[in-house]
Amino acid sequence: MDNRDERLAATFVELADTLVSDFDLVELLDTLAIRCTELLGVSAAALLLAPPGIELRQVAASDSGYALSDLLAMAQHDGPAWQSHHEVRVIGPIDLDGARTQWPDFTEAAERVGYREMCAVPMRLRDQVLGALLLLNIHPAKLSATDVQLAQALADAATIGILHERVLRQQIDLVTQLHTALQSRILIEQAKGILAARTDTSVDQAFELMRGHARRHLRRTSDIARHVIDTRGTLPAPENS
Amino acid sequence: MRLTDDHVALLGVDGMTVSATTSGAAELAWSSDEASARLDDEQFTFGEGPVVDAIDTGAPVLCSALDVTARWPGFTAAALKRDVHAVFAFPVMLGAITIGALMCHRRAAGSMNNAAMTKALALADSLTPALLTSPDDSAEEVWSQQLHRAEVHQATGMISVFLDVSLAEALSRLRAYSLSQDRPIAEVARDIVARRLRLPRDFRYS
Repeated sequence: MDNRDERLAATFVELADTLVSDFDLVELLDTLAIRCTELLGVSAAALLLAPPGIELRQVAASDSGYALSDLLAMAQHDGPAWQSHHEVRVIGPIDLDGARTQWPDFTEAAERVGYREMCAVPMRLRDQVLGALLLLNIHPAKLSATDVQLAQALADAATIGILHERVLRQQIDLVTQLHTALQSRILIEQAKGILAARTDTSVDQAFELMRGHARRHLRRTSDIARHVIDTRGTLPAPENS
Repeated sequence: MRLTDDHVALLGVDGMTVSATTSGAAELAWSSDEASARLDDEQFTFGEGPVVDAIDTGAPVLCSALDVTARWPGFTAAALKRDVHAVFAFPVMLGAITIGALMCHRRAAGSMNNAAMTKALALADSLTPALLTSPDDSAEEVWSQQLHRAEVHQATGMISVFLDVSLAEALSRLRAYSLSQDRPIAEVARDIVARRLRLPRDFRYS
């Protein structure tokens, strides 16, 4: 293994580690952008993501300088990253002359801050397209076909990381819903007891009190129950009507 | 997913429960019979047992001989008194998250054979969607119509008013009182709700 192979292997191990331990998506993507510059020898790398229904936007970059971030603001709707995301294919590597005919505004802006070569690979897994990885170089004609394949592999790793996090978050949402439903049932039972003790009634009568109040004021019984608990036994005052 | 006695027979055990995690103690969602529900109440009262551990660790908890384990002193004594000698709990998982547990128990000591274990693990897996439904729209699912420990929660509310303590403190006093009187927590709760019993203000369990 030459030096790059070793560093590449180390990068994938690093990415896999990020996925299992304390998982922070932004940190993972920042790491990936930096590794791209090291492994591919490019001057700058950025990840642009498009959540469903939302336009492409920059989420991670290999450096946070003003020049690059201004260019990336533009890359969200113009240039190779935008095109790569929309056509779900590799764009480039392409030099300034080639780029100018396709994206004159973006190319002019890139040239102004010193970039002379650009390339973008899509971030996708099966039928899900998440965004694009943009590579920028201050030297022309430097990226090889192997570099581009490597870039795609790194983009794929990022994609898996993002989808993994999304699945986790969806799972957490589901669990939260379950907890809320179960919790509010427990809460209603506790509130019945509190109100019954306070008003010297049975728990069934206390429940009727809460339910009647909820119906009259178009509120959920669980909201009334929470109020009963928080105030240690009083029904909420009717809202001004 | 609808659990039936067939599932219990299939696993070669005497009873089964399904519990769901909450921010406090796990709540019983389904039980094959009254004896299994009581066994769950014992775990609730003592705050220890196979379901508690399965939910904590996200791993199966297998205890084939309760009379030789020192793992859950309170629960074990109560289980043996109920003639339960083996307990097996399997977490119900959603990815890496534990959302509940399936518990099987048997009067005869002895481990679960591989075939039954495989079925129990598959059953626990298949319970995930059912446990994720709201208990409110669950006629077809694993949830029984009423919260199993409804009266325990009601009594908790009443005690908190009578003794002027927080709900958490009220629940721990209810637990402690049941233990000290050696009575099922559900029964003590029912007496409190019916105003047949009031916890002494200065009661402390030691």
